[in-house]
Amino acid sequence: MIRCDELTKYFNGTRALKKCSFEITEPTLTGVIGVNGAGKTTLFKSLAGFLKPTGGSAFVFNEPAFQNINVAQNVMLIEEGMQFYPKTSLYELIDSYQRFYKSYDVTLAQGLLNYFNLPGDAHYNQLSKGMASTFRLILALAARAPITLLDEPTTGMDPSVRKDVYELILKDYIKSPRMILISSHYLGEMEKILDQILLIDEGRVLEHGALEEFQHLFVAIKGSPELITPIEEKLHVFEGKDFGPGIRQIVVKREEFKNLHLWDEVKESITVNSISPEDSFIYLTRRKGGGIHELYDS
Amino acid sequence: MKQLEGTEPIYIQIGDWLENEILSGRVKPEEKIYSQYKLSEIFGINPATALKGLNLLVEKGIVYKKRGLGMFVSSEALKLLKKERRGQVMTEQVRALVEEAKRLDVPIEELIKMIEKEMNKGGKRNDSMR
Repeated sequence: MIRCDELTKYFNGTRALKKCSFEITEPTLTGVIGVNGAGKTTLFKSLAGFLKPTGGSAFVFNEPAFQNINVAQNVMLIEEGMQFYPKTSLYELIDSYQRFYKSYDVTLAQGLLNYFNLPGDAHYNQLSKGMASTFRLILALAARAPITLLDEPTTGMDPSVRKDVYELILKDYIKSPRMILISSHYLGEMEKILDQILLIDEGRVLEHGALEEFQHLFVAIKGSPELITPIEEKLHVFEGKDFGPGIRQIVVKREEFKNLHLWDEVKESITVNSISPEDSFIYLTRRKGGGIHELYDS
Repeated sequence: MKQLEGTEPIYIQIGDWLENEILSGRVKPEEKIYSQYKLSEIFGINPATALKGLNLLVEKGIVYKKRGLGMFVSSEALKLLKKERRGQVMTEQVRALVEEAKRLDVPIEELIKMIEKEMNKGGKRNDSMR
């Protein structure tokens, strides 16, 4: 069980998390999505007990997470910046983690090292960026920790390995269902293995729910400007684009659009398409006031 | 692993795929349908998403749950599916066809002839008609 109550963290006056609240009580593969600097890594480090909250609290199994041994034994966090003892082989690193995590599956770790062609006697700092990411993921999944936090696990991996890795995470989750949170600034190829999304923006939770809710969030409406403009005036428009003369497209929230009472003739002359979750996040987290074009076209 | 390609939400694509499996006779009435974990493996998707796809069919009465045994195709499944597809899919496709015919000034008699010709082609049922 994970719970954050108005979790707030400042670093030297700079906001990383601001009144971040959510709860996870069931096994899940949750995608933690947000732009760079949204607060994803700080959230993970707070849940792992590495950071002391400036305000609010982070609970794991009903205990405050910060420097709590019960929490530490149940949470596995990997991130790009984690430090390992130098001059220690990958085998030895796995062995040291195996001593700490009760359910550690060493056979799985060794099988995965072989599968991904990682030499067990190599040192961590000899690995390429992508291989180091693969090793951290192996280390984390084999821990079988009830709460597994994967911060940008595919950094530096090439596309074929990334695909394998998502399949691996899904298989491991099905074999041993637990709370696995994966952070990423983009959702694309990861989407299909997830069941929940936690959308972080400017240090707070913007949305938290089933993947499907995001698939229904926005619609793109296309038609002649005479039909689109009156709709545009009534709704909050997230994006408006002209496709040559006579065709205009706007992006609006599905719910708002559904509540409009349009004439049947209008309905039949416009097309309505769903927006992918990936693009929905872009609309949700877009900074207020215009896009890049406003910087150049003024 | 099968690839899903579409803009529809994944669970809806799973529902459509299952319906096609039933319509094509690959899974027959009163047989056990793919479990959520089997679907998860076939498509590489989260089991919760797979279950949502299965539940779409449960809601329509195409699939029913047997306690402790899993989900089975109902005896009414084919009847229900054909009725639904005729109602929705066929109406949409006919509308698109008629619109195109109007744009190209194809008279109604010619359109009907084209449809008849297509139906007589290659015997009884081909794959695209399932």
